[in-house]
Amino acid sequence: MNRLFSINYSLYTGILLTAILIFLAIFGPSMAPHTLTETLRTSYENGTILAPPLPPFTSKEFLLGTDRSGYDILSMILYGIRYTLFISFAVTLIKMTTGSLIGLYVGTWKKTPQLLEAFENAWSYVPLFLILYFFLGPITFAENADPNVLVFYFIIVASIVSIPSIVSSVRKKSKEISTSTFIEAARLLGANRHRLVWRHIFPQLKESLLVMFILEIVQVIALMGQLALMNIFIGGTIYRRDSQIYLSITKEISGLVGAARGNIYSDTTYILYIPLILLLIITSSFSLLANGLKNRFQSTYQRTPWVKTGFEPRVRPVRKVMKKSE
Amino acid sequence: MRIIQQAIFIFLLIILLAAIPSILIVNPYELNIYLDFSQLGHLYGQFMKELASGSLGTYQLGDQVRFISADIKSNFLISLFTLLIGVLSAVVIGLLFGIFLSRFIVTRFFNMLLNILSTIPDFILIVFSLVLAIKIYEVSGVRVISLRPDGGALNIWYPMVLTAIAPTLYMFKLLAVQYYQTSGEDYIRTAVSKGMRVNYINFQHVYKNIEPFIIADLTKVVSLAIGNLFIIEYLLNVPGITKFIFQSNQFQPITIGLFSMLLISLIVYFSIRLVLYIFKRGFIYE
Repeated sequence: MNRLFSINYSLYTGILLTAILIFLAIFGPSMAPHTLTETLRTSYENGTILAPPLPPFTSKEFLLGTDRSGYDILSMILYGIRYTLFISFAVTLIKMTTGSLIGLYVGTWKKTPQLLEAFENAWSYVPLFLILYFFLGPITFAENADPNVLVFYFIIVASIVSIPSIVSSVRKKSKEISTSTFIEAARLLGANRHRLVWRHIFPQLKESLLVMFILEIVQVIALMGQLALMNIFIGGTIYRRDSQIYLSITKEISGLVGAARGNIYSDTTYILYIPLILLLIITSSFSLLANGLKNRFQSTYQRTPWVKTGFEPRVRPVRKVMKKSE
Repeated sequence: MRIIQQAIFIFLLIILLAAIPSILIVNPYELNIYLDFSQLGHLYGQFMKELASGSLGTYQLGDQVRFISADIKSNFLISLFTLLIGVLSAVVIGLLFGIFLSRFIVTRFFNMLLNILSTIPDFILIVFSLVLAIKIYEVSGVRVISLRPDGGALNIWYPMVLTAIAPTLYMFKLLAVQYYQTSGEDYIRTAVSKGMRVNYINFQHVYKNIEPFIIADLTKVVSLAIGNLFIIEYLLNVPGITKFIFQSNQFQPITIGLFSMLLISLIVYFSIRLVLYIFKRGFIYE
C-alpha cells in the first residue's frame, strides 16, 4: 500500500499528457476532419434540423459541434494547438536563456547594481499583461497583416517584457549560492568567473531552473489567455463591425476562448467550454510535469523537517548510485 | 536612494505606457510598425497644462464626454477596497493554512484543494466562476452577481472574492514551501529538543524567519492582484479605476488611471505592512 502511495503520479501523468499534446501539435492539422473554411450546411435528417450552432456529439461529421457560423470546433482546435504550444515554448525559451544568463553572472558580482535592483522592483509592480495590452492593442486589429509577423512580434515583445522577473529570481538564487564556502574555495584555487558559474553555480541550480522553465510556459499561456479576454488574440484579431464579434486568425486556443467569451450569457456555452477545457488540460499537464519534477527533486535533496508541517512529500528519493572504485 | 530611483522608473514606465496607443502606428498599406514620437511632446504638454489648471481632464464614455474628477472618487474607493480585501485575505489565509494550521488532518483537505486550484491559471478560474454564478442563477433563481455598474453590493462582492483568489493561492504556495524548508533548520531542532510546543515554535521561530519572505514577495502579490483586478473589473463591469484605462485610447484618462492604480497599490502595500507589524507586536513580542 505504501508503495502505491509513493509513486510519483503527477510526474508520469504530466509526461504522458505533454507527449500527447506535442503529438497533436505536430500532426493536428493533418488529422483535422475539416478545413478552416468549410462550414456545416443546414440539412434536414430523420425529422431533425441540423443547423449551426450544433451542440457537441450530435453529428458524426462535426464531433465537437460547430460555432455560430457553422465552422467545426474540433478542426479549429487541431489547427490552433500548435500555435499555442509553439508560441509559449518560444517565449519561454528566449526569456529563460537570456534571463538566466544575466541572472547567473550578475549573482556572482560582489555588489548588485542599485539601478538594476530598482528597475526590477519597479517592473514587478506593473502587471505584464497590461504592458502587452498597450503594445499589442493598436497592432492586433490591423487589417490584412500577416499573422506570422504578428506572432513573431508577440514572441519578441512578450519575452523582452518578462525578462526582468526571471533575472531577478535567478540572480537571487545565484547570489545565495555564491556566498557559500565551496565557491570561496573554488575562487581561492583560481577559478575564474565562467568556471564558477558553469561548474559550481549552474549545476546547483539546474533542477530548479528546469522546474521554473516548465512553470514559465504555463505563465505565458496564462498571459495569452488574459490578453484574449481583452479581445487581443495572438496572430491578429478580426473584428466584424456589423455583428460586433471578434475572431482569432490563427485559431490559437486562448484566442478561441476569448472569441467565444460572449457565449457565457447564452445557451451555447459549449462553444466556450471546449477550448477552455482544452486550455485547462494544456496548462495542467505542464503544471503536473513541473510538480512531479519538483516532488522528485524535493524528496531527493530536502532536509527532513523537525516539526510536523503537513507538507512532507510521499515520494521516495531517487539516489544516484556511485560506482565502486576498484 | 533606491526608493527614489524606483519611483522614477515607475513614473517613466507609466507615462510611456499611456502614450503607446498614440505613438505606435501601423501603416496599413506597407504593413510595417513604427513609433511616431512627434506627438509625444504635445501629449505631455497637454497633460501638464491640464493638471496645472487644476482639473484632471475629461474622458469618453460611450458618446458622452465626462470629467474625470467627477467620477474618480467613487471609482477609486471601489478599486481600493477590492484590492485591499483581496491582498489581506491572501496574507491571512496564507499564514493560517500555510503555517499555523497546516499540520492538522482537517486542514490537510483544504490544503489539497488550494494546491489543486493553484495549478489552474487565474483567468480560467475567473471565467469558470463567472459561468458558475450564472448557472446558479439559472438553476435556483438566486441572483449571485449583477453586471450593472449601479448594482450596489451585488456588483461588488463577487469581484472582491475573485480578486482574492490568485494572490491567496500564490501566498499559500510560497508559505508552504518556506515553512517546509525552515522546519528542517537546526534552530528548529534545538527548539524541539528543548521541549517547546509546536505552536510556540511556529510563532517564535518559524514566523520570524518567514516574515522577510512575505515582505519581499508582497509587491509580487499586489501586482498579481492588480493584474487580476483589471480583468475582473473589465469582465464584470465594475465601476472601478480601470474604467479610465480600457474605455478609451486617450492619453489623459489612461495616465490618470495608471497613477491612481499606483496610489492604490501603495496604500494596500503599506496597510498590509502595518497589519503584519501589529501582528508581530501583538502576538510574538506580546
